[in-house]
Amino acid sequence: MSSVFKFLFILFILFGFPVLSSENKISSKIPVKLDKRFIPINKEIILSQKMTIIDGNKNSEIIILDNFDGLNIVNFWASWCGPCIAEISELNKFQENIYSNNLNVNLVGINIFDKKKDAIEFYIKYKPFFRTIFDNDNTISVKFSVMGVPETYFVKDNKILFKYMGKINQEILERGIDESSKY
Amino acid sequence: MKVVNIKLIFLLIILILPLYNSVAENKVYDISNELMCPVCQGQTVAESNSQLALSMKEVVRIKVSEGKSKEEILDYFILQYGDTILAKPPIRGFNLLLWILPPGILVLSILLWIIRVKRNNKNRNK
Repeated sequence: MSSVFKFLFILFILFGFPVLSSENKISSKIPVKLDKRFIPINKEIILSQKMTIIDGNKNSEIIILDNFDGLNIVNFWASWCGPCIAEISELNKFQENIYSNNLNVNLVGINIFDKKKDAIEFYIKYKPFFRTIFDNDNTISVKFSVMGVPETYFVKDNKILFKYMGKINQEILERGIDESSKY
Repeated sequence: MKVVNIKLIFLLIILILPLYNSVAENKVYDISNELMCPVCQGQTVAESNSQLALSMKEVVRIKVSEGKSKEEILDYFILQYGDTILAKPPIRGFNLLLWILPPGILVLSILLWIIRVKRNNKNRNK
């Protein structure tokens, strides 16, 4: 019996562990320009419409990307999306990082492809620290050329620089900020 | 008399409004049918029920209600997603090959076949 466990342990060391830890290794080694999950966009975006902030109780409206001269990081999510749930804690940590280090970065979450009721439930359950918005008229995804969720866009001076497709973490966000500073 | 006129106008509006809506919806369908759903396999936006296709349809609907022409709306989507968003690729640049190559190959094959048949006939006659 113990030899079976030994065999399984060796299998895990050989195959399981490298697979589990591969995501971070790959992302930290590959430069942003060669990382296929970072998609360059370079497109102007002007958002004039007001969007509803999801705060669980009352709905207030804002115009996103407005009155901010720093880097906007716009994360698209949906309540039914597993990776979106998984990345919430990372985004919350990053928002704390923005506050504590006084970074010139505005992190916004936009709920798309979803029902408002489900979005509010998600907000109450997972408590994102960053400003979270509901796509009232179901059109914002086209304006950003979103293909799915989760996707994270790096926007500066009303220009989408690039986007990241898939679950994001602090390290990827920091790489995105570094890359944005080159523009 | 005035009351009758108002009733008549009201009745006309009720009758014309659905007709106007159906014309607008037909236009939405036509345009959506010329856009490929970026997250589906071989489906147009009109055919697809994916969330993204629904959003795209909504954008088409808004732009139609704003009085935008079909070309303007298609141009907007090309700006957002590139030429690949069109169900019929535009006849320019590399896409030109898509339009020229299939009939070109067909014509060339027919020509080669005719030449070969003629040559065979000549050889037989000799």
